Amino acid sequence: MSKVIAVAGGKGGTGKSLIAVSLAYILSLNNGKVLLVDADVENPCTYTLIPSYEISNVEITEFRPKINERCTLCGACVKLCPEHALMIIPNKSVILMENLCSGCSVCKIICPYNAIDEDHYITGWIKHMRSENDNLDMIVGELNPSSRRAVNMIINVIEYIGDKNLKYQYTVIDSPPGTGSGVYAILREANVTLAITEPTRLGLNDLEKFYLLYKKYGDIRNLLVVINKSSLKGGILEKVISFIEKNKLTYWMIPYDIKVVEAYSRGLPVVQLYPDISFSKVIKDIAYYISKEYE
Amino acid sequence: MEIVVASGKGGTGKTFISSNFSIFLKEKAKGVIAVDADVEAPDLLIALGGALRTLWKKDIFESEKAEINQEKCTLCENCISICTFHALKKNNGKITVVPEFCEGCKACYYVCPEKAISFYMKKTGTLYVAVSKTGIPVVTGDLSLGERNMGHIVYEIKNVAKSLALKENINYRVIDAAPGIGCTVISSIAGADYLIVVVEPMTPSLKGARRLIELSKHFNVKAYAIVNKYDLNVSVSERINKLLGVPILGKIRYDNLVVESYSQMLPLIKYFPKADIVKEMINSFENIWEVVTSE
Repeated sequence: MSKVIAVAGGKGGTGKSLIAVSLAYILSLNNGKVLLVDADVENPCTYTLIPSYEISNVEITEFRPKINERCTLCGACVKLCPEHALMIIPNKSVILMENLCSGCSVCKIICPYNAIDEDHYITGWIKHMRSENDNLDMIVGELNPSSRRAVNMIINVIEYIGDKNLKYQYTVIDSPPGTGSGVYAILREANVTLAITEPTRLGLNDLEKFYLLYKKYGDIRNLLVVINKSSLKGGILEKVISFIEKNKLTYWMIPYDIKVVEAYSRGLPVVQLYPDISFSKVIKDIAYYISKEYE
Repeated sequence: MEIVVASGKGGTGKTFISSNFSIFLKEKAKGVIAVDADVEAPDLLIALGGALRTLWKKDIFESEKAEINQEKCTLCENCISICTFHALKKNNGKITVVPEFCEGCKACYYVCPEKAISFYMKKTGTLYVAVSKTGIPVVTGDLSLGERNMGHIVYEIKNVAKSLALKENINYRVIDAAPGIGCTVISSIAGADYLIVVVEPMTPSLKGARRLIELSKHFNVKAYAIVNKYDLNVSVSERINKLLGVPILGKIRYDNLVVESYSQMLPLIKYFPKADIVKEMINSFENIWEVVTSE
């Protein structure tokens, strides 16, 4: 069974994707088969941080009603649609407001005249990719920009990898920011979670909320914290550390380094380009810790 | 007038721009309401110095959740196959509901031959209005941990802000959107007059910004961009106008003062007025002001 590592944390832009890619890269050098999953479906970007190529692309669809000629305008579907996505034009037809529909199919189930056919709408795509060095298999979930169902797309990605990750020793999942059900869907599959934060007031505020989310569902011994850009001048590093220590969490610090930004903007793995800087050393350290504690 | 600050990617500076722009408008427009639409990681109030006092508070109970009567359940699994949200799971010979995934659509209820499914209401989060230390009223929300973050919550937050604006005779509302392009971001943009996209000169942020601008075309909103941390990659910054296809209203440098101002909970625009970054910021805000007042 693959060990699942989630890379998350409440705040956006703390370095989740970069750390997920780097950790997966290092684990793939040390331990063989690794799967990197991009579940930040609203803006997947792991594949822009490591040279990679696409293998295949699967369309994920959801239900949409299509009203056929058997419709008697009885109005049952309009009444029971939980999203109020169906409207009746008296003596004429029932119409669908596409952008409100959640694809639940209640209308089809309850229609007494069998007047609703099954149509489909693209929720998003799941891409299979591979790093150019062929060490790393990648699955990238991407929400259709006109879809409103980001959480559903995340759950689809998780269900999709559920039966495909068996052959991997590690599965690293890059999570979106936040503390809602989309993030929860990822955490509930993970054996260990890295919460990435930064030594700022907003970073700490979001880490606190993320910690509460984790504590509500998981064993906090499996929550590891990374304080990224720990050397930021004028930050509140001490406060972040004291929160982490008070809650007895294991943590690492990565100082800010312009070389990291440079590799990031060139789309090359930092750990490969600059193997000796602090960033890379800490990632190797985390990989070692995880491989020891979560064999 | 509703002005939304958003970005496809997290951590590009949405809250930074929203908070400082609100302070700018407070002087310029004789009043502003700041609205935090990122209920999974709400930070706007903190960026505005924290709460002086809370004016109003309300719990939201908008989601119904399914519950299975295990005595009646015969494990036919009809409910599992119909649930588009993957909220029903079979574990240890029992079907259970993952309440975090359940949207209360009742599809399971309609297909259950044993009438074994009922529903209960669950708290989704809290809405509140507070006066920040800057004197600016902030309408904000806090999603319950792991809960479904829905566009409805954002609409409700925006409606509270709208009625407050009417009551207090305030013309401008600044909405700090969540990262991404999902349903809460859509709800933030829907009905707004202007969209300010905060973008960094890096691939993941540019990708996110492009998606967001693409999405905004479905709505009656005028999109503009501000380039934040432009000096992290000057050559990309110079081409951003072309890359995004919307007018750029300003460029703001990377400066540690941002972190410092958050740490001290003193908004940058007010407390470091002479810094270059603040001059660039004010210049950008003047440009936004010109756009929104010239039409």
